[in-house]
Amino acid sequence: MRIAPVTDAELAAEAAAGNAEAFGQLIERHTPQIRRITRAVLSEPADADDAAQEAFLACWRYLGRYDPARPFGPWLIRIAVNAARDVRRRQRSRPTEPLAPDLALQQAGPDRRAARAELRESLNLALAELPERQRLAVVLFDAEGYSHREIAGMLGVAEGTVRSDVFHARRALRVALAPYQEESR
Amino acid sequence: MTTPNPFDHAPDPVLGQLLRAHLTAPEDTGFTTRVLARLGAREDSGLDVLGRWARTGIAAALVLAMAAAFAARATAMTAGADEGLLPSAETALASATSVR
Repeated sequence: MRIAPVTDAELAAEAAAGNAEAFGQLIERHTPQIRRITRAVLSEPADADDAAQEAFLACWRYLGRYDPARPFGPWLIRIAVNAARDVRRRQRSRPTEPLAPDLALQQAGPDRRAARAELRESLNLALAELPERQRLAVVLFDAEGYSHREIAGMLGVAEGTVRSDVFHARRALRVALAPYQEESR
Repeated sequence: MTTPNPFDHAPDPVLGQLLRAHLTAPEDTGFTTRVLARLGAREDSGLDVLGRWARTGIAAALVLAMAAAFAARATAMTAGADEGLLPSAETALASATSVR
């Protein structure tokens, strides 16, 4: 019996050899994170999903260039950020729209749903007002748990710039969310 | 959420959770299938392109081969006809000798 490969690097090596099943496993592992990141760049969920798909297709094309000695996630995130920026460049003339509500919100009770909708809207607006790099920096740092150094590598900026971006983004988000923080006390 | 601090090196779990909930797409089912289908479609279309090129190449090679064969045959026929029309040097010498 053949033991399935477990690490991303092993799956990437199999995928690079043409194993679509291994590539499918890589996609499944990274899809939630990649979709979050493309949604951090693009406000329209359909555009974000297009960018995420483009990212995986580009990943398949460039798998031969992936260095298995380095972590796969940040390499893929770099591709995803570029794919999302490409989509944004293509649709620059279109106005920015707020993110669509999620299923969890729709399934909550009426009061809770209203409160969460308000919180969501505030977070949505606050995120939309952030410069793209700050938005990515805070999402990668606080939501995805990457270090400043890793984020600097992914975004191609200095580590100090990432620290500053995270700081400014957090401050803006905390100001926007402060009323809800008060309510929850 | 804690007070903002520029020297804070640790992720903020509350803000992180809010952001994750906000940005997580409603459903991931079918996403992998769609990507793999697009990948398959691209590879198929790539093979189609190669196939078209191959078919065109084979057709061009056949035409060239036929043209070359036709040209070679025409040259050979012309040479044969020329040989039949012109007397050989020996024949010419023999006829000249007999006249004398």
